[in-house]
Amino acid sequence: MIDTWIARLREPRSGVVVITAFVALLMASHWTPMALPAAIVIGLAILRPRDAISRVVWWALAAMWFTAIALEPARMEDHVYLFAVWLVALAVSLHQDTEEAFIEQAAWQARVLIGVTFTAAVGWKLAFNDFASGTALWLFMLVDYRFNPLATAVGLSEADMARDRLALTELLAGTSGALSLEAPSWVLWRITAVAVFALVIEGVIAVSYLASDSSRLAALRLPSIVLFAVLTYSVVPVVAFAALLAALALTAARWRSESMWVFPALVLMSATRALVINL
Amino acid sequence: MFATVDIGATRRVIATAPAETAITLAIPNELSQVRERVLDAPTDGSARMLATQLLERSWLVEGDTAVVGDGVSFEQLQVQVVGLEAEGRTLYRQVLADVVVDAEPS
Repeated sequence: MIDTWIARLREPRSGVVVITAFVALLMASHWTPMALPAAIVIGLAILRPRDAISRVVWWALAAMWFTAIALEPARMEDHVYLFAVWLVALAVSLHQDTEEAFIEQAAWQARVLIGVTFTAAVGWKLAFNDFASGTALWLFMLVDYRFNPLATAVGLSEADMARDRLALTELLAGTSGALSLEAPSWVLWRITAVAVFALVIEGVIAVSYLASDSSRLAALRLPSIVLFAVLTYSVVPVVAFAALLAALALTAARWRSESMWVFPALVLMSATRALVINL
Repeated sequence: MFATVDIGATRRVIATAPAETAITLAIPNELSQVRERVLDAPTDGSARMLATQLLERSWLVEGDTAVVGDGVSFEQLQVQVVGLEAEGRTLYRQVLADVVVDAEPS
């Protein structure tokens, strides 16, 4: 039975459905009642795999997630919206009759979703000079302890950070008028380089996923998304988003067996970092 | 990753009661979700909702700070949400929401 189930996972339709159900379970961390429909779909995938690939199931799950977003918007982060759109894309793709037609459609949907998402992310960052100048990243290092390893790597000392945190508290309390972030030029250079590098990677993801499959740029898709995930989630782990990105990337890669390592690699890496942070 | 210096994590909610020297209220843990919502969407409406819930509580005042406890009730509270804006590498404070709410007459 297990052999049959694993063999079924190699089929794109069953594989994409199971991995998306797993992502749904992780997304339920935003609002735990959503774990129930995710668990039901996972149960279906194990016990009644034919029913799990029914488009009705996925339209229903998409409707539930859009309802959850409407009911509890404060609990949802940006990647939950992306996930809900992916559920619709998956339901649409499941209308295809054959495995080949399904994966063609699902791969296109996943590719465009990644491309559009990262294009929006790059555009948003370029619209504000705060990011490209490194100022936003510098501030995140001050207010979010998860950035501590990065702060150390770029050369910000504990004493500098403590001084700036105190100055930030005074600024927000209204007891000082302004805070100038100052550091030696080589530290400034490193902070700006990290910010620009992050932008470049996101730009490469956007361009490579929006380029056609026949383009040479398509070869950069998986490497760029893995590099993005390694750099981002090894600092700030968002396990559900890492899993969603991996699921979309695998679908965009047409569920090829040689790409399968991406999902466990991304999820385990972000989960390990989350564990280290919470210990 | 966020694009600007003004995000929920860099914002602060400041609740004060009017006095000769304004009394700063410590927002209780039971209102942490409301506080998070105000930080994520700092509007006068969300700030007013928090101020109304703070007004319903009584407070123990010590110096210029107050914590929830069997003490006084305030007739009026001000809730401000402050955030940051940047010019180059210099950060400035900006007020994102600012409301003054009066207690319902009993």
